[in-house]
Amino acid sequence: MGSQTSSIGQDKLDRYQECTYFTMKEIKRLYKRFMELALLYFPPTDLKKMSRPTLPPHIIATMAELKVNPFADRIIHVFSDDVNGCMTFEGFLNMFSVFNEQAPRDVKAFYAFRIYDFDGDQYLEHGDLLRTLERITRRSLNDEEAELIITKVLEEAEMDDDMKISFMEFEHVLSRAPDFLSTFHIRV
Amino acid sequence: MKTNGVLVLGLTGILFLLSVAFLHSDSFQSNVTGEIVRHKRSSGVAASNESQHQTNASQSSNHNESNSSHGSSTPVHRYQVVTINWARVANPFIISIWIIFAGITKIAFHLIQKYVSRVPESCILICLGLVVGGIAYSIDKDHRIEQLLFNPDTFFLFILPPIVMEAGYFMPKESFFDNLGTILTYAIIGTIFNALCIGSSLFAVYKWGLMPGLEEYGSLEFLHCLLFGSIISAVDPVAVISVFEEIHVNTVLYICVFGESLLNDGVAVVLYKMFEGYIEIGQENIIGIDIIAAIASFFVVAFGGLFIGILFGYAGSFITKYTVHNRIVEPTFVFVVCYIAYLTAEIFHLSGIISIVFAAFTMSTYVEHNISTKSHTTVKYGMKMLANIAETIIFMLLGIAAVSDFWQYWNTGFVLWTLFFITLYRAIGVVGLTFVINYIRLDKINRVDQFVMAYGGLRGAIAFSLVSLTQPEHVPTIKTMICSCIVAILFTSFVQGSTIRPIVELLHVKTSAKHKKSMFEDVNLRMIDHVMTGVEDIIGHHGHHYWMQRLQKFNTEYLMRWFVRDPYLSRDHELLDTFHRINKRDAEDLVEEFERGNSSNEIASGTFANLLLPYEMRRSHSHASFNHLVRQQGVTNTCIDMHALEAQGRANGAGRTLEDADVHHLLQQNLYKPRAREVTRYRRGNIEDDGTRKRQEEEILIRRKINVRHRRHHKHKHNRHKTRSSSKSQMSGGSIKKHSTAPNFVVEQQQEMKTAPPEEDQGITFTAGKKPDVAAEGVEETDTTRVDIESCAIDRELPWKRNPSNNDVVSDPHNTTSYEEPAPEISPESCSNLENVWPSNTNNNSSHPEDGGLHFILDKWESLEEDQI
Repeated sequence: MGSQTSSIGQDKLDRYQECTYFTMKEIKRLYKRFMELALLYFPPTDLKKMSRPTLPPHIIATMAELKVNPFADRIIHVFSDDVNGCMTFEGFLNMFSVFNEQAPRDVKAFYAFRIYDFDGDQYLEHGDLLRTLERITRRSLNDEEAELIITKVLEEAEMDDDMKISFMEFEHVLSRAPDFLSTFHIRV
Repeated sequence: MKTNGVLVLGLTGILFLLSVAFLHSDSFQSNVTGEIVRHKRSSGVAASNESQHQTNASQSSNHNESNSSHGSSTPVHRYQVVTINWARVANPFIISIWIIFAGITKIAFHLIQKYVSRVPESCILICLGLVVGGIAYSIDKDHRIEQLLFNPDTFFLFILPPIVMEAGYFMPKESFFDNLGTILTYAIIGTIFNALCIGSSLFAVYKWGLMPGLEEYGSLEFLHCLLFGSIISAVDPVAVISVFEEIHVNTVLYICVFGESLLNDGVAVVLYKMFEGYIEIGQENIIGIDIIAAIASFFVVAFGGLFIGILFGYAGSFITKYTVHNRIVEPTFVFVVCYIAYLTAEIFHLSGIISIVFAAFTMSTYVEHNISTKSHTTVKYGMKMLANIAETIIFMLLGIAAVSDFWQYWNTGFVLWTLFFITLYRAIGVVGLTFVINYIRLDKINRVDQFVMAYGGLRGAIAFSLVSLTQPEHVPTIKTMICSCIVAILFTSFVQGSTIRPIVELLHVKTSAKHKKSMFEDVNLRMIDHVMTGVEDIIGHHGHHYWMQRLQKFNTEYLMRWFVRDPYLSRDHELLDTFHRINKRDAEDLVEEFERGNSSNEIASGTFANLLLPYEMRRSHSHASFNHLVRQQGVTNTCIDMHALEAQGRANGAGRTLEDADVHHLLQQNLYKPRAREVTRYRRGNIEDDGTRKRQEEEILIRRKINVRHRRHHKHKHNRHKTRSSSKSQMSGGSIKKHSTAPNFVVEQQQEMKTAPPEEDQGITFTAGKKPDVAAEGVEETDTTRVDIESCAIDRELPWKRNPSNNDVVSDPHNTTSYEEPAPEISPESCSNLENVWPSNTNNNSSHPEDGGLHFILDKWESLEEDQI
């Protein structure tokens, strides 16, 4: 990588620092990591020329560690900048910003909600939950069990009887879950 | 209540006197026998005869026997009808009396708790111990009581293990691992820091001449101070458990203090052994290799204990894998294997506490999956019982042991300085370490928590036992140290222990809310785990989540397979566990509701039979359909709205045992047996209930409940909601026709579950002819208040609710006759149709509506169970 790929301009650094919850050191570290990932895809010469390198989704998805992760595609999808799932450094930074411990609860809740919301219709319904459950358990529950768990979940979260969980309801349920804030963050 | 209290207290008093008397006579007795033995061994027959003759005057055929066994000159005694053999049973007898005494103290404590709720139980027990000890001390000049009941060996071998075993078995695993780093830091570095600082500070103060009068008892060396420091620095698990269980602080705080107190034993024991060894070697002879050996021995002791514990834990888990046919022995393995782990560690001078904690800890992970529900309960209660009693005994014995002759070696300076230093260094240690830890920790330990942590550093019986173990030859001033140790224990227990609760309240320490994970939360947490692992992977940072997932994977893929009989097919057994738990809770709620008499007869009795299902089948693989039953019961009972309808709609899809159950039902209804014959066979190893008998018992119970309910029902007739009264008239068989114009009801049968909820919204059309307002009202009300009465009423009110048939579309044009039609039309594989049985039975056999339905429920239950098995 060398010094060129792992350095950001000072002005950019300041801006990033304002927009996110990170310190300069953390941003630099993330940038380095981002460039490492980008190097997997672009030859170094191309990378130097690019002003805003983007990571195509399959680069992230092909990472060995992520292959087994059931939510890899969701993470990429939710935090990517465009429909193709390409991720710029801003998106990359944004992702970790959300998981920072200083990020407010509703921001975290919003992204958590988006990860659940497979079809992107702003509601979590049966289908979304089923897919989540399948991913969590790797399809080891039988249909009945899954059905029951989903019913239970819906029952707990439901407030307006439309059998889908809106963001409001989702937030409300999360507010009753004390573990959420303490688990939904990461140390960079 | 008051008379009861007086009675119990009186009983306690009598027992107390009795035990003291017994103790006294015992000490006398053992004194005598001891003498006999000694004489026998040393000086031979003649001398022993003399001494025996002196004592023989008092009593005891025991002596006659011993006389005749080896004596030659004593006259032959004739055969006696009754002989007293007290000496033989003396020790176990006294110990039993003590345990009972301790138990009764526990009862008495709960009675006086109203008056002294602020004082922790441990303090009261110590006080009681002091009183007992005082009286015993005045009666018994030889201090045999103390030696019999509180010697370090008894303490370490019998009293301590149950407490730490329980602590390990019920340790909250997740929070323990989450805070492992913090706990280890406190336990290892904190304890070493405390020991060294307290030791050297005491020595410095002594050198400065601030402990006047200590020289009289002997010289105090630097190593002696360090030894004492290592004894007094460790926070005591027993004291911490007893105090922190009463104040419900948040989990992080609790696990930090508690985990520290458990794990610092390893450190304390190493330090103690180390300094003891150094004292034996002599201060001037210590060379570098000794220090290196001591440091090495620390790792050996701590990790050796850990290793032995885990090893035995897995061994125990492995044994319980094969206990299917001998359920009765299951709890034994759990208890004894843990104990053996402790003893094994003690053999090699490793940390027994760490060993037993981790043995229990490991076992609880796997054994729970192997043993039956009953064994599980036994283990749970057994552990709690043993720990509770042992704890009570420890505190009382602490009080007793405190009354002894070492007080004449009292040195005010030493004691006060000790108190000062343990408080000071505890505070410094906690604050300093937390400062470092907070750099790494995500959720910081705040000031208040630090204060509670420092303040909760209670000392206890382990320190006292260690200090009593120390030989006066090694440490001449040990008696003063014992004084000081006792004062430290009493001070921390009384002053800190009893003020910690007000302080916690005053400082608004975040207390642990009674929170049970909901299904959603569980699903959410799993999702978060995965997402976080994914994110960590992207960033290339192997943090907590990464290792947790690795560990979990390893556990499920390899360990579970080896140590669990029927490992869950699912990777995610936690999810299923939560699910089971929620089901269980639902069932318990229903029982409560049933007890309160809030629900109707039908549902109550139907529920009651069904309730028992998940308990029986909890661990089996085929739990789904049983859960199904209970699930639906829960839904129909607790919320009558779309959920209920959906559940019923779904019920139709899952019919596999339908015909079977039907046939069974028909058969059993006709073949109902008279009262079961008594089972006269008795086998020790067999605790399986006899099926018939159980059924009969349950039936009787249900009948009784129904009768009670009936009476109550009539009594409160007027208080009920109007839907209630109308439903009752239906129940009594009077106005069934009233409901004949049932609403048209369309249930779209949901084979494709994915789209179920929205479609069902549309699928149901309320066109109730007779009472649409009731339905609407009911739905509304249950939405907000979830009053169960309403739901039940509606259950009966709307016949279509009870009639989910196997057809895809049920639009009942011939609803007029639906009630007169007998059972076969009903699909009996879901819970809701257990209720369905009622109306038909009401028609067929209006004089005893319960009986028919009851049989049906019970039979169905059995047949289902058989099917599932």
